[in-house]
Amino acid sequence: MRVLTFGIQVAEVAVDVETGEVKVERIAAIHDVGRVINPLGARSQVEGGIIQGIGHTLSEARLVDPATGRVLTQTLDAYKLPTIADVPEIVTELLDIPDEQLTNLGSKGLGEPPIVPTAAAIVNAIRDATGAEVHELPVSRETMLRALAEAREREAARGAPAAV
Amino acid sequence: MELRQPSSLAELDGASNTVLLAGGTDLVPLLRDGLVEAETLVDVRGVVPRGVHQRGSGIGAGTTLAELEADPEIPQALREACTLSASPQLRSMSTIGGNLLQATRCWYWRLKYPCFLHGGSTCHARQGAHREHAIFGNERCASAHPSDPAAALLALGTTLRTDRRELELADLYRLPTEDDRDVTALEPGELILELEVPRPDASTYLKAMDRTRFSFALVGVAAARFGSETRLALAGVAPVPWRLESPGDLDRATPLPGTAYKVDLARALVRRALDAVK
Repeated sequence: MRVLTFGIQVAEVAVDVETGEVKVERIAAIHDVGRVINPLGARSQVEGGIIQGIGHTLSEARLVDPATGRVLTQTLDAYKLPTIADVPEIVTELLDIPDEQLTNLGSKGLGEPPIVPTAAAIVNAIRDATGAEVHELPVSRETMLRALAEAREREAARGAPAAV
Repeated sequence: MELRQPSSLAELDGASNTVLLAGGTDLVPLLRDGLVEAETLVDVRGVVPRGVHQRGSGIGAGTTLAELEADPEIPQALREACTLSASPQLRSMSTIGGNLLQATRCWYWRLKYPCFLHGGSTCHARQGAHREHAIFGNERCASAHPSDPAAALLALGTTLRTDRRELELADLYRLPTEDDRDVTALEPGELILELEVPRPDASTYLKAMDRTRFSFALVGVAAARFGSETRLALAGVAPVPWRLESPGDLDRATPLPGTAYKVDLARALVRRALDAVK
């Protein structure tokens, strides 16, 4: 079966331009998942996917020792999943349009699709807020501070007043 | 392994190969991972004072982080440092005495690489992955000290009373040397009993971490003002909690390639902390 789930996601973020802290304040997710059979279950799938997406966007990093090839982040204090304190307001809407051509129940797959656009929505929101362009994940303090410095340099080169 | 639960200091006879246990939040994982070995565990909760007295300036070493963060008599920097540490479950178990002695989170040390801190000759973090590591005192060992409360207590000018002596908190810590790889100056079996914390006119603790809660400090900054003098101390930037004599000390940091960002982070947080205690 092909996955024909479609959706859009939009993120609102707050960026501390001195410390590089990124706080996701709200994410809206609207998905076409065909017929909604279990509304609570479906919404929970979207929320869970978004939280996973926030994790790999902002804090989860698997680090490997370059000399020995061993994974260094073997524990949950080193490999940082999001906690509930990192979870923003999540606004979910499901279109509930049965697709009779696809399955006998008219439903489509859901679960992984909300993970996919989350990182792009967050880093685009970061760029919209600050002008900083981030091209690597996770958006650590180091990555964010460097991107902010580069944005300031670009602004300065253009002779425009810096946005940040 | 044997567990003893003495009810008086006299029963602490200093038998060899004993390890002292209080909240266990740091020690139990270390035992599990084979980083600490003990034939006998001595539960010191029956002998170490617990609770806050003298309007917040006397703290029993057995007081939990959860008790400290909830006590309005405790200086703000220490309360905030406790609140920003670990998770509520861990804070309700962990004691302030144990927190001062917790082991580094350096992944090389935790994974038992034969590093300088383990008695070896090299620091694997210096050449390897070190984004969470030190920017000060990192020549031989680049590990970062994980305690938030230790930085707050250092800024506050805390004195410790052990079962053998009194010492300044600043003198509890030492950088590991060729001859002694320990990061504390406690003698074997020495037990921290009480903390004496001067009352500041204003104090604060700020912390940058990889997520909003439940993460060790990338940089933690404690500031405490006594009259016109403000004392600064940092967490997560050196193998031990680190005093800054002035913000300008940050110009003398010796970051590794992957920890240079911590200097910028520290500058921003020091500026804010100084503003907050003005």
